[in-house]
Amino acid sequence: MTSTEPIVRLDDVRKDFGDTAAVDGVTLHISQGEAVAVMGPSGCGKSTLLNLVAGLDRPSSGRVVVHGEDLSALNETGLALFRRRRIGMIFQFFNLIDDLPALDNVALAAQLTGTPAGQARRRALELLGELGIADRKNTYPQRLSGGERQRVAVARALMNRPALLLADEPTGALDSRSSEQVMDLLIDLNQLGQTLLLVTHDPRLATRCASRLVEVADGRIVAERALERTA
Amino acid sequence: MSAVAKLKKPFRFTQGPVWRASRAIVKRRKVQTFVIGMVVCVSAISAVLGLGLLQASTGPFEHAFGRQDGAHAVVSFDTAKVSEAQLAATGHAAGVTGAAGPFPAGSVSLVLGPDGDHAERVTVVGRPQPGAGEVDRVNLWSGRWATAPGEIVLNVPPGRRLMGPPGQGPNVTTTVTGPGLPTFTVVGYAYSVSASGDAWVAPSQIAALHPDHLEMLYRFQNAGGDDQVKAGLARATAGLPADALIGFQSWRTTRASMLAKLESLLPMLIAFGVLALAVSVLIVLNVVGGAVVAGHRDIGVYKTIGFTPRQVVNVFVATMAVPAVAGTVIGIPVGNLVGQPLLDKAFDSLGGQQGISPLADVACLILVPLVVGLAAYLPARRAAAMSANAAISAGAAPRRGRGLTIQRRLAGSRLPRSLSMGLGLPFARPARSALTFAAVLLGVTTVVFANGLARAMTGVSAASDRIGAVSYDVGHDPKTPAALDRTSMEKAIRGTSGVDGVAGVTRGMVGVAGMTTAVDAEFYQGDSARMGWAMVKGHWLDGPNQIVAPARFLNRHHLALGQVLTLELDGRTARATVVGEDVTGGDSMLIADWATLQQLDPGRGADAFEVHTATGVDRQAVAAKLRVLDPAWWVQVRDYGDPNAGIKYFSTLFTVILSLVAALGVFNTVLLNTRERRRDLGMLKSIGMTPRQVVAMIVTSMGLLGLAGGIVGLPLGYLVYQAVMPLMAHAQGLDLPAGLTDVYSAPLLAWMFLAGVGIAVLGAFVPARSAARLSISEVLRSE
Repeated sequence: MTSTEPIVRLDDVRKDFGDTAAVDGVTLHISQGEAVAVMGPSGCGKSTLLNLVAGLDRPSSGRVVVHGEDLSALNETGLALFRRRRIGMIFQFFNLIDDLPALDNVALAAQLTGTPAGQARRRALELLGELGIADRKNTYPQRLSGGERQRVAVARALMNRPALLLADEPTGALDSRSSEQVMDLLIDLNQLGQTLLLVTHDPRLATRCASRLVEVADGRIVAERALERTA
Repeated sequence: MSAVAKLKKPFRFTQGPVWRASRAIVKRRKVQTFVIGMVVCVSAISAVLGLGLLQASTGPFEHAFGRQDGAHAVVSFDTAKVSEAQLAATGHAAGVTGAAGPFPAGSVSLVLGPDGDHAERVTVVGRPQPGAGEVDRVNLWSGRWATAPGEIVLNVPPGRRLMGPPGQGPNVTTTVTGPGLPTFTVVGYAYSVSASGDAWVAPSQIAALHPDHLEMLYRFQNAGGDDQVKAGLARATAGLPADALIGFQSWRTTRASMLAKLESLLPMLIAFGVLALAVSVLIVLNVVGGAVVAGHRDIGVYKTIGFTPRQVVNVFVATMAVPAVAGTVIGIPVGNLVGQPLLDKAFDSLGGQQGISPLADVACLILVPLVVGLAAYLPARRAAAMSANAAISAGAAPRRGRGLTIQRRLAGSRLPRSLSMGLGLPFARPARSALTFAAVLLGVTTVVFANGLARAMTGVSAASDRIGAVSYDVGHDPKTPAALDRTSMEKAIRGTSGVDGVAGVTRGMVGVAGMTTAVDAEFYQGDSARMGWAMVKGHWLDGPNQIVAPARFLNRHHLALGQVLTLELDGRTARATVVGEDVTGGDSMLIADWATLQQLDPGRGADAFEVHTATGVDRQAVAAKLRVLDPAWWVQVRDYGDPNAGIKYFSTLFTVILSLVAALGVFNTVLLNTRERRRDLGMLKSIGMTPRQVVAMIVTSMGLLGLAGGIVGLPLGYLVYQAVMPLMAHAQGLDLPAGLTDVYSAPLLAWMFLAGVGIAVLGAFVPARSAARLSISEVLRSE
C-alpha cells in the first residue's frame, strides 16, 4: 500500500439482512491518520458499517479494502489474521474477559499472534502505563470503573499496533467524567498518527475527536463534512 | 373465587404462562432440546441394559424356569409296577399344582451326528407335543416337533452350534442312530430347562426304543428346598406301590448344574449393569442440571415479569419434560432391541429366552423421567429463590473468582494462548467440569475393564482349547478296516510337509487309590509338549510316571505338586507323581505320560493323534494331504469358532454405548460453555482469534478433562478388572497363571489412557467447530 492510498475504501457497499438493507450503496474513503466519526440515529446502519470495515460482516455487494486488503477475498482465518494485524476494536461495553486481570486482558491480543507471555505482558504494562492505569494491572474487570475498563479495552486494541482503530460507541456506557478521559485518550492517539473510525450517537465525542463527520440515515451517507476539533 | 370454585375450574395448563414459556424455550433452544433428548435416549438405553442385566443376573434360572413352568421333580417310574392311569391320577394329588405325563421313556445309546465316533447314553421320551401337560412347556426353537416314524427332536439350548460336521453350520437334517436302533432324522431342536429328556420322539415311536420307564413331571405348592420337593413327591405317590418310583431329579439339582455354567459370566454382567446405570444417572444430572444452570438468565427475566418461584421451577421442569419423555419412549424399545441378543448370548445355557424384564422397562419408564425431573427441579428451585437481578447476572457468565489463579498462571505460561485459555476453562465451572470428568472417567473405566476382560477370557479360552497349538485331531474308525496301523500312520503324519509335531493320545477311565469314583485319564506320547497345555504351576510331562492335573481336580482332592498317586486299571497299578497344574479341565480328569499307561495297559496304542503344524502353513492344504494318507483315519481340523463371541459382544457394546454417553456429556458441556461464553468468543474472534484457535481452545478444555479421566480411569478400570476377573476365575474353579491375566501391555495402556482424550475430543469437536463459525457481529449485537 502506498502512502497516498486511503487506508479504508468502501466502494458502493451494500449489506442486506433479509429484505432490509442495513447499508445501502455506501462509498467511503479514509486516509491514514484521519479521525472519522460516523453518526446517525439508532438502526441507521452505522454499526454495520463499522462491522464491515472490521471484517465482522461480509458485504452483500460492493468492495471493502482496508490497508490494501480486499476483505471479500479473505476466508474466516484470513479475516481473523487481518483483524489481528491491522485493526483494533473498542466496544461500548468493553468486552473484557472477566476471568483475566487487566494486564492479561491486554496481553491476550499479542499472545494470540504467538508473542511469548513475558514479552506480551511487558508491552501490555507499557500500554497500561501510557494510559495511566498501570497500578490497576492486577485488577479484574469487575473491580475497575467504567473509564478504567475502557482504557484497558483501548490498550488491548492498541496491543498489536493496528493501522486502524475502530470504536463503537466508546463512551456510550460511561459517565461524563470517564467519557472525557476516553475522548482525551482518543484525541491523543490520533494526534500520534493513529487512524480512527468512530461510531457514535454523541455529537460531543464526534466534534472533539474527529476530523471528519459522516452522517448516515437508512443505510446511506446523507452528509459528510470536515470538522474543526473543539476543546 | 372460593376454594371449591377453584377446584371446579378446568385445568388449562396448555394455555397458561408456564406452558407458553417452556414451549418458547424448547423452540428457541432446539439444539439443546435435541441434545437433552439424545442424552436421555442413550441413558434410557443404557439404563434398560443395566437394569435388564442386573435383573436377569438375579435368579436367571428362576426366570427361565418360570417361563417354561418348569418341573419341580422329574420322576421315573417302573412300568412293571404302575400303570399310566395310576400315574395320571398322581397329578391331582394334594400339594401338586401341575403335572405332565406319564410319558414312556427309554435310556438308549445314540451316536449323535454323522461324524460321531462314540455312542452317548441318553434319555429319549415319547411326548406328543412340546407343551403337553401343565408343566415343562418345552421351547421348540428350531424345526418342528417329532410326529411321524423315524423323527426325533434333540434337547439343545437355543443358539448353540448344532450338531453336524464342523464348518457346515446348523443342520436340521442330521440323522442319529445307535446299536440295534433304527435311524432317526432330527426334525427339530427344543430346550427343556427342567432337563426332562435328552431327546423326544412321537409316543407311537417310543416302542422302537424299548422304553424302560414312565416319566412324570410335577410342580408342587411348596418346593423351595429339596426336602419340600421330596415331601411333595411322597404325598403325590403315596397311593402307588412302594418300589414303583425308581428315581427322581429335583429342580434344585438342575438349577445348580445350570448355574455353574453361568457363574463365570454373572460378575461381569453385574459389573457392566452397575456401570451402565451409574453413567446414565450421572450424564442426565450433568446435562439437564447444566441446561437449567445455563438458563439462569431466563429465570431472572421470568421473575422480572412476574413469574412466581414455583412457576419458574415449573417452566424448567416442563421444558425438560419434552426431551425426557421423547428420549425415554424411544430409548426403552431400542434398549430392548439391543439388549435381547446380549441376554440371549449370556443365558443360552438356560435356553436363551431371557428377555429384558418388563419390570426393567417399567422401572426405566418411571425412573429416567424422574431423574430428569429431579435434575431440573433442584437447580431450578435454587435459581428461583434468587433475586431476579442475581439470577440474570449469574446466567451472564460463570461465577467470578473461580480458578482465577490457575487461569492467571496459564496466561503467563509458554503454551500457545489458545491452548492455555482452553486449559483454564474447566476451572470456571468446577461443578459442571466435575460431572463431565466423572462421565469421561466412567467411559475410560469401561474401556479399560471391558478390554481387559475380553483379552483375558480370550486367552483363557485359547489356552483351554489349545487354539493355535493343536491343528488337527486324527483318529481311526474301528468299523472301517485301515490300511495303515497306528505306527505307520504316525510315521506318515510326521512325514507330511507342514506338520511340526505329533502326539499320540489315549483316553480312558482309571481308578485312583483313595478316590471313590473313576477318573478320566489322558495318556500322551510323542511331541505332547507342543500341544499347547498352559501350566499354572510346575511343568509339563517330561519323564516317565508323571501326572499333570487341572486346578479343579487338585483342589477337589486336596492334592499338591509332588504328591504320588496310584492309578488302577483292570487289576494293574502304576505310581506317578503330580508334576504340574494346568489351566483348564474338569474336577475328575488327569493327564499322564505314556510309560504310566504301559504299566496299566501294556501294549496299548494311541487312540488318536494330535497334530501341530508349523507357523504360516495352509492348514486346509495340510489337512487334505493327511486325509489321503488312509481314508479309514478321519482328520478333523480344530475349529472352535469364536468361543468368546459373547464376551466380546458384551465388551464392545458396552464400550461403545458408555463411550457414546460420555461423549454426549462432553458435547453438552461444550454446548453450554460456548453459549455462556458467546460474548467472550465474539470478543476473542474480534481481536484475531482464528477459527482453528477457537476449536483448539475448546477441544483443549475438554481434552484436559479427558486426560484427567484417563489418569484416574486407567487405574480404576484396572482395579475393577482385578476385582472381577478373580471372581470369574474362582467361579469356574480356575487358577489362572499371570501370563493369562496380565493382559495390559504398555502400548495397550497408552491407547486406553488416550481413550479419555478421545472421548472428550469426540464430544467437543462438533460444538467447537460450531463455536468457531459464530458470527461475531451477531454475538456482539445480542450480548
